[in-house]
Amino acid sequence: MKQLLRSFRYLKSYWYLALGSLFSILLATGAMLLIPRLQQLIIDEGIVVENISAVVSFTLAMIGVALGRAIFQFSQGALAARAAQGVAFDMRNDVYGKIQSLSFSYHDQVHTGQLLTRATSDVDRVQGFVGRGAIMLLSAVFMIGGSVALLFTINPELARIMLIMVPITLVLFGIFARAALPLFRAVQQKLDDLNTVLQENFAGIRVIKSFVREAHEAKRYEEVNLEFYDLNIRVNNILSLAFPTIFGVLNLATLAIYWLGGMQVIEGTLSLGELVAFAGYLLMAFFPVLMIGFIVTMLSSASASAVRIFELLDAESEVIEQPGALELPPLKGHISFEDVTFRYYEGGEPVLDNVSFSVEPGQTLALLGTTGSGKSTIINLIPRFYDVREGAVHVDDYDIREVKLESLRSQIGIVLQETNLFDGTVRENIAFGCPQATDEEVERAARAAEAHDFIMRFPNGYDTHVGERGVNLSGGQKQRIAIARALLLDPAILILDDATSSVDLSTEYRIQKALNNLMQGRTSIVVAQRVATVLNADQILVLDNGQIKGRGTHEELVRTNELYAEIYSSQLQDDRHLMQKVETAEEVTQ
Amino acid sequence: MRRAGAIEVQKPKDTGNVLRRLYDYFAPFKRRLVAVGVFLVLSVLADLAAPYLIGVAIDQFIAQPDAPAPVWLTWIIGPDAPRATGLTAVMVLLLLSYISAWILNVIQFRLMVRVSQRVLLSMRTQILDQLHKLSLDFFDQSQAGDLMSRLTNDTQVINDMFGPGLMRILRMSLSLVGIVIAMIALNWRLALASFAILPLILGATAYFSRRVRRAYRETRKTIGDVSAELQENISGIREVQAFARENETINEFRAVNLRNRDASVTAETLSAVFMPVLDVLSTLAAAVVIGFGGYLVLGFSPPLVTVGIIVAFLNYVRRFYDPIREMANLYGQMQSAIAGAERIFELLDTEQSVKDEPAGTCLPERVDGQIVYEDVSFAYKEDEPVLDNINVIINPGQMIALVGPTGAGKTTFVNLLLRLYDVQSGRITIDGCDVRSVPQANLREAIGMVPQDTYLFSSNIMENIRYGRLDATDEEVIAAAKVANADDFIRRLPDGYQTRLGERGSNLSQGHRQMIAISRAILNSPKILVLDEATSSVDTRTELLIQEALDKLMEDRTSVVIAHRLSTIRKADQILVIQDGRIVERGTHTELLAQQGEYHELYMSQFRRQEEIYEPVEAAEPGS
Repeated sequence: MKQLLRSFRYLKSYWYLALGSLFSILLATGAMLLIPRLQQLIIDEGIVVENISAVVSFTLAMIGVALGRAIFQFSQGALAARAAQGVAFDMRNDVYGKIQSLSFSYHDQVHTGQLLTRATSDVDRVQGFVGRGAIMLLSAVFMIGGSVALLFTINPELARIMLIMVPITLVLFGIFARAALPLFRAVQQKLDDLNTVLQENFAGIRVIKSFVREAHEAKRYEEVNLEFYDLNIRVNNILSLAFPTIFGVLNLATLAIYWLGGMQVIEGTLSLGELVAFAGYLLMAFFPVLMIGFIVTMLSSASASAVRIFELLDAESEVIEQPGALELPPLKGHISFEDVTFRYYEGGEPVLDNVSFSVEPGQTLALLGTTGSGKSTIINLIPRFYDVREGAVHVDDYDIREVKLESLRSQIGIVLQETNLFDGTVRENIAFGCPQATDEEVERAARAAEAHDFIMRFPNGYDTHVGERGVNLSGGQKQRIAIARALLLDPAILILDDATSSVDLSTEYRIQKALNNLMQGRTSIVVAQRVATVLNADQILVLDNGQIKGRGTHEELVRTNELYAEIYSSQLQDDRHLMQKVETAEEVTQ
Repeated sequence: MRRAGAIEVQKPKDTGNVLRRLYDYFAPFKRRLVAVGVFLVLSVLADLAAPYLIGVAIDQFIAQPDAPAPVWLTWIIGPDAPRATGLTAVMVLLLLSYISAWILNVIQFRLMVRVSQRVLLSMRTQILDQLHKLSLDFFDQSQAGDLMSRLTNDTQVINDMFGPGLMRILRMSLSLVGIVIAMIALNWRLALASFAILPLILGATAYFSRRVRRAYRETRKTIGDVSAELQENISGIREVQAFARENETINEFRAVNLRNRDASVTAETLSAVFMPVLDVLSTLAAAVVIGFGGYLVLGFSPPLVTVGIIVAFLNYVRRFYDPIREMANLYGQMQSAIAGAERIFELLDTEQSVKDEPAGTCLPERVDGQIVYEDVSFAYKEDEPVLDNINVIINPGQMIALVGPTGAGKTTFVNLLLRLYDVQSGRITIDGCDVRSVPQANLREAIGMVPQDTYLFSSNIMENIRYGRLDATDEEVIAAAKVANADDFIRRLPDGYQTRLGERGSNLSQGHRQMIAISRAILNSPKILVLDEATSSVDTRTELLIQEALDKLMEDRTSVVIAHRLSTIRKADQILVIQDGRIVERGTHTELLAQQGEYHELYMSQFRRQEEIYEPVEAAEPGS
């Protein structure tokens, strides 16, 4: 609730719209309340006493009032739409900006889907309540108040019927809502489950077909399907009772009015017109009661959404640019880690334990170690994707926590482990980090990344849309585009997180060549999967459980470091064996 | 960079056909539907009785009666009952009509929901069955993913429509008919006068509802763009931050967001006009009833209408215009439901390209594992042969390695064996039996497959391995994992074998996913094994472990391996070098090297690369 009230701050920039909408709705409600009164006058002052001119003038008045009401109704709707959509617009921009600013440690924990819901449906719910629901609630209260007051002026005795009807309707609504809402949520949940199974059957069709598990999957699906069916029946059983029953209350109230009121007319204490007007006001009081019911249910989901939105907006990014952050000059490329100990979350196991090293400009540093030894963490700390808490990371003698993020990151080129291309043309993707690059520069980068040839084989060359029908890039092609993308930045520091993955031999060879081009004349930090990279490195760090277990060149390590020798020989065994075979093959051919 | 992401609300192409087929779904429930219809008519009658009874009460007892009472009323209360008694009698009737309307509504709604939910249940089951029947070429089409996302949406739209929606439409149309009849029967003059506004209302409804629908379609499209933009930049957040592109993406998002805001404001403004216009028109209708009614009372002697009838008419007019408004709302919903049903039928009608022959199988229960390809050709698209006249004999227990550049046809070679596609000419036999005569299920039971891109289901690890053989005990699953060298890493996970996997196993590394797939195949223990061996991004140790597991798996089995690793290639009994869909060379590793052909070149290019490595190695290890 507190968070929902906080959302009303977003209405501040649109206060005039909200105020206009509120005035409109009050005027429209007032006009609406006049109509049964006019109907009564037509009957009592016109028809019953046979006064034609009264009939005509009151009828015209009624049309006039209806018109006025329509105009205010319209202005209310139009103003509320602008206010509500304005709130949604601002809120979405804030959410999006926040998402962009949060560091990796936040994104590690939160799924894309969750963030997506917050920016779309959660914002919609809050917007619906803040921009519209609240005003409707006010008008509903005003309308009930107004019609009950008018009813009391006509006939206090009959008006008591209203005092019974309103709370009964609200209570009934509450009972049904309480019974139905958890079921609605359960239905939604089941539907998600159902879609998950369907989606899995779709994406995993190869596995299902090759293990002949169609029957198994069908059974799994059938179970969820039947549960979904049962839940739907249960929800509808409640609904089938709810609406007839709630309208039943209205019907009973109508009956009571005609019965008791009819008796009064017979006794002469009430006029016929008043009775008809009474029935009209009854309807007018009833619908706002329903509306209050709906808004209250809307309120609970809006407030849950508001909590989720502000949870995101209040999240503190771990990586924050300091107020007086320095603009980094063009870098030479010196990097040093000083006693860096790092944990991904507080109280967790250290992923890096007292790591110190330094890399001279233009050097290549290779990181070697098993999965989870801390290689990727070292790589993530240099562009400040995470902040170091103990120890420090320096680039050209600047502590990276004291410089502007953009000036740091724009001088570092990264090829990540999993390449993510964006919707757009090949050219746009290569120029991702440097949108103002010329076509020549893009092409030069692509050539250096061994990507130019395959790009030119696409139907539209560099203007080919990535993800367009028929243009499916292979893993190796994506990787070379990612390399071109990094190369275009012409960065002083280059970071390569395991850039050769499942590609065939010749492609791998080409990527390797492209990488060698890329590393020329820059400080490079490379996660080594291939022996070639290790051998080319000026310095190798052997990591194990977050600690540096060895450092030096290949020649030094292979003699002195047991762990290195083990990793190295297990990889090279294969190659040595192979070489002998080739040698014999050569002999045979000679 | 943005995508035209949102799902368009489509109009059905052939409404008649869709409705006919929908009718077929409802046909088995004919008797129940007839019951629903009877209850529906009765409940509408009970609803409509109320205004009439109120009118009678006013005319006969509340106001001074100036017309003779209806015949049925005199039967109940006698000719000269006092006004109060008469009023009580009519009110009791009114109460009865309310109660029976309540009961009839509840029953009729429940009956209908049961029928429509049954229909949807069977429709959903059919969809999954059809997905299982369809051959892989269907899933390879790029529209398939799109279709999938629509499918889930479509069943929901149909669900909403054929649950409460359909009932409302039926109810509304019946009430409309009933109201018209009641009005004409009560007083045809007044009835005609109140219908005078009808054309205006219908016109306004038609005019606005089309525009409002179109405007809302635009909002759905723009919110789809907003989601697409979010989706893309959130999943690419690492790149966005790494390349310091935050400001640009924020500006892009603002633009998309702004378009959505404007579209929403336009749509909501339009519907803000629509409702008041309808309200004015229905008030106008009420005014006509009162004005013209007043004229009929006062202008004629004896009056042509009574006050009670005017009041009843006011009630009817209100009830008359509500359904029209509601039906305008439902019309759009109805249209998308029919379009959704059409898409579902389209899927259900898709022909499977790989079909099982009706007459059984010649494949023996225990397969030896001899595989023969005879003149096999295959093309995904006409004129673009992927495999061209392939001839291979693989003897039981042999291992065959396929090498060649990406796109040469290696995966297709394997897919044909599994009958994920059917050969277009030539034939493939297993133990002398043409695979096309073997039911797909039997065939695939005999062949185990470890794909390159491992698919894991979002259950726990135990269940994912058990997928290889559903009746395997926990011990057997663990034993298989041990053989695959996967046991160690699984036990180190927080919940061991019970660790739940995220979407597609996203919380495991690719190497670990692969080891689970191998465990699966070990558990399945097929006679023929197909491996799409991947040099994935795993560290050297894991890679060794995987290799070891694969070697164990291949013992005593006929295996076809798409090979990336030289160690595998060297061990193969036969190597096929495939290029542009043809086998350009075949033989053992040594034989092929001796030929100095394609394989030699491929090998040397790999070797040359390694030469750069070896020189320093030799220097470093002078002794070895």
